[in-house]
Amino acid sequence: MQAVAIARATVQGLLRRRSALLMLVALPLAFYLARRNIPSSAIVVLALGVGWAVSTLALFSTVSALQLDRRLRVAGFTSRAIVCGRLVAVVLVGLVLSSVYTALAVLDQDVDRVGGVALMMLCAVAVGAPLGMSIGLLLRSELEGALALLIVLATQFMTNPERLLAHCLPLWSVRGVADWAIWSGDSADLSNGLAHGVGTVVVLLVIITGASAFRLRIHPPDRVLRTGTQPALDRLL
Amino acid sequence: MSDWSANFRHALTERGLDPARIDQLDCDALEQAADHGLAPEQVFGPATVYADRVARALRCPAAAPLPAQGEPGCALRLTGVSKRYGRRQVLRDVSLEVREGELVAVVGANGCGKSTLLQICAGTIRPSSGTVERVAHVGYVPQTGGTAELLTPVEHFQLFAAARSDSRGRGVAIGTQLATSLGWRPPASQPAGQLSGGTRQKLNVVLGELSRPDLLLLDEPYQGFDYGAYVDLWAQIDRWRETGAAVLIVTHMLGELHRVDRVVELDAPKDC
Repeated sequence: MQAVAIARATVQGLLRRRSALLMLVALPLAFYLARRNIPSSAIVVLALGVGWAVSTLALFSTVSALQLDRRLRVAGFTSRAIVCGRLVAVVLVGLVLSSVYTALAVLDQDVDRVGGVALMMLCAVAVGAPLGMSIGLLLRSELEGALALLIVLATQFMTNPERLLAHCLPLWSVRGVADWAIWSGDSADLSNGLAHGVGTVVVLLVIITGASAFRLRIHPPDRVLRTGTQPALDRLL
Repeated sequence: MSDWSANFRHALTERGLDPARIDQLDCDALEQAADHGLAPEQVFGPATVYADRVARALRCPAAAPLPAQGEPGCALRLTGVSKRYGRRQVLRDVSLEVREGELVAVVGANGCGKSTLLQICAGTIRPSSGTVERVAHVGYVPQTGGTAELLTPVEHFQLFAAARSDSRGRGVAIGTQLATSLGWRPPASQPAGQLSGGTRQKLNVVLGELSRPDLLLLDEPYQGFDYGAYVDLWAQIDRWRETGAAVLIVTHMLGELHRVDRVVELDAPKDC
């Protein structure tokens, strides 16, 4: 129930940021239009753009809510509910975005494996959301977080996919699945891409768990005192 | 008039609320249930139980006549609490006690650790030394950052209600009643970021009180209040005390110290 309340509040807040939503939609579209004349590459950068947009959304949602989250912890929320609720909200928004862009790619390009394109988008959302949240929890600042995200994702864009560095970056799974879906058709590429995606998500979730336990920690009192009135009133309720 | 409404009114009358207030509470409850498209009992539960919750939330002294059990219990006890950030000593050897129904004020110069002390009481900061003993159920009203810019007051009530597994409808009902006692009717669609500073602070105070805590920690809660709201807040604090809640307030309003049971003055740190 607590996680649902956080997810609902996150989506409610996001829906009021119409200009931010517009930018969120525009980011992958801009990448796509820049490469539209190179069909295979256009779909890859579109998926990476979705990952970039979702990770940025997760970063800003996390950082802007940190103070409120600490108050919610005092009020009785668990840090797990706060993190899960926000992550679910960002993933849901990301899935809507990725559905729209999967449809765009399928309608605008000659796509053999529609499921493959959908899987690329899914990898981008599944990795992007915890990536942005983990950076937000580690750095606690919008500017520093945005710059860190820029370093990671711009490097992902610029690096030759064959280099080891590209394999070490979080969104390489999108490239791996793209190798199978668009170019080679080799199922080994699909397996490698998915394994990278799952591994990355696991690592990011471990970081989120540790960072949120630290950032949202509440120190219990050395001794809990009992009031004389509360037990009687609780029985009435 | 429905059975639920009749029972609700009867229960509020028994708890000593005046008829005009009962009319307003009943009308608000029915409107809120209608807004959700549900019967009042589905939103609020049994009328008598809900009336008791409302009366408690309003901190009506007649709501829950409590058996006298001798000396009031202690809600907060700090013993030798100190806080140091690196070489800077913020708090030094602070000891205080707040009992049920007491109001204790913390005063001191700017930058001398008043907000830090409240954060230690709330548990968001660990003291460098000393012990903190307190009740489990605490309401915390921070000086800043206690609300979400993009959520409306009603959405805040719904969110904070989940902290104690209350339903959203119940959270809204109690939040609205608490806001009313501060002379404020929460707007339906205006996000907190668009509220005036004083109105936003009223929302901040209501959120701290929403779960009917045993101990309230208020960090300069009246910032931006007009005179009427300021008077309403002190009346509200009096009601909290009368129903046994303990209150620790950080204040600069030294003119109001006659209202408090005790004053704790924090020493200015050497480098302050």
